[in-house]
Amino acid sequence: MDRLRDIANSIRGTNNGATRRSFDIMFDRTEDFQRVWSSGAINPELIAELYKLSAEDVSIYDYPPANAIKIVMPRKVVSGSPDDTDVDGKQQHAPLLDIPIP
Amino acid sequence: MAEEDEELRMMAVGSIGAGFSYRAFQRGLSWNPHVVASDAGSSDHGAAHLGSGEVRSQGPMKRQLDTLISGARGIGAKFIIGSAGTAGGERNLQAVRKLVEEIARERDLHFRMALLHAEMDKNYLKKKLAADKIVSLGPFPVLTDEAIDASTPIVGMMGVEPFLKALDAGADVILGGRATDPAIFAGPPLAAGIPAGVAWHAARTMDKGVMMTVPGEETGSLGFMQFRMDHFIASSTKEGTYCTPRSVAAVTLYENDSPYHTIVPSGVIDTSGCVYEAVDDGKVKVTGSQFITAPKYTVKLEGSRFLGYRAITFFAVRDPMIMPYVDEWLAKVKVNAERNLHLQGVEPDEYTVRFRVYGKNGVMGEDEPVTQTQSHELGILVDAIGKTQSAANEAAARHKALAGHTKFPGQLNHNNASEPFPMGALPMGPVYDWGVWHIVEMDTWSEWEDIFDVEIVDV
Repeated sequence: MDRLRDIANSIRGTNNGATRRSFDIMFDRTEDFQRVWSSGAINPELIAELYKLSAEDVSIYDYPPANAIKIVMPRKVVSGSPDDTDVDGKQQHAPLLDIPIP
Repeated sequence: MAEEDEELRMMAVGSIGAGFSYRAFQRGLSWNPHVVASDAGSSDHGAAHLGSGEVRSQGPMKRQLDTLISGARGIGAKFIIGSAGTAGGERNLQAVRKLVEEIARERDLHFRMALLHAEMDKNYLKKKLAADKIVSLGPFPVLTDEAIDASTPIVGMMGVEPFLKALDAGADVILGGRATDPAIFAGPPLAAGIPAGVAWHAARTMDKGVMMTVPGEETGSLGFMQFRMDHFIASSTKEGTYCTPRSVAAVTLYENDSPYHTIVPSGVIDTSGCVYEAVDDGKVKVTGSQFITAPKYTVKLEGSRFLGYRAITFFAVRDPMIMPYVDEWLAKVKVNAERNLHLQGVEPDEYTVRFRVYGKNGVMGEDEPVTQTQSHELGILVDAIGKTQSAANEAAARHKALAGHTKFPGQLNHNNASEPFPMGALPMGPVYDWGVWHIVEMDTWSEWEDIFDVEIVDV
């Protein structure tokens, strides 16, 4: 089975302000975007498990103009506070790379 | 906007100080922009620059400001920045003003300049707090009069209104304090009569400069925008770079909760009905942009809170026998270091120490899914925050020293801490985090004039 890293063209992780983070998963080809989105492989339950959150805290949007899927979640630690490990959230995407895509 | 010239043109630099291609800038100037603009700051890197008043990359910034202002004024274009000096506080703004005035003197440039002040009056905020007009945007300390007083300082993110006031006063150079990103770019098109939907959406699209272009950041290109009455056209100034419908559409996705909606103080940019189409020469035409005016004018507040002083140091371990025990071992190091510091008169309530274990979970912390590290070596950053700089320095240094001397089960060697070169603890100075991350609601639409002062200076 393909993994997300085999299909996506970019996975852009960043802060959404100091209290939230997001991942913009983009695809070169519209059919790849549609395949991944319609498969339901990227869903709140899975993302919650990968990031140790509850599913209600995870929002997922499709954005056809950019062949993109957007994941938004709260940060557990406010950006730049002493317990933060990644101030702008640039390297938190690794758990997404191996999501299996049917 | 001149009548024969049915569009307003603007060129955007992503972030002053980060660098851009000089040739791409010159090529963009040859397309005759009416305005050169840049978002010169961000809160993405924490509260440090707001708290300290320091400006990131001040040296390169002067060089780049010089290029931008000389270039823009040379063709009669206006020059606009917002969130000046990284954080857009008063000290950040004044530092940038000083650079601009130096450049004007050195180049014998003369212009009308507007300074848009974003730092909030604390008595005003206390009144709004008492009137229940301030709402928290997350897990922040409860806002009190004391917390407002203790903040070092608090800025409001201005909308487009102060920029419009500055343009109306005839300013050719505008230095804005902390601003909502698209507001920095929306003033000139709105002043020229471009409908709000087009003006705001195009502004939002160019507020990251090069981001709307392909291949993207590494090219140092600049974003170029043509604002027209019922659409906008986005392009890229560096030879060989271009815009695609997807690269342009992807900007509203970035750092935003909803890909179709961007909130600014006066309303919401709605791109849900937009059509993005490729036109000739790697340009993209966008139609269908809407702007929905908000029922109330609201301003986001950002305030930094002083936490103490930081000192760091670093060491690494390579002993394979320590790997299974690293957490337990570091816990023991803390106990030993605490005792050692006590003997030196530095008590536990004067400092906190965090070990950041790179090779294990330094990047993701408790979210790290890999529970058993496969690394054969680990880099450990010792991060100490003290009530005084000296307490932080001692705490960091002693934690490293005691890591060297704290045993783990089966240890054969006599010291566990390797250093790449002799280093004590490095003092990092004051530490700030976000103490205020709130929204304040205005009672009337024009109340922004009470909090964002527009100062006109003839240079």
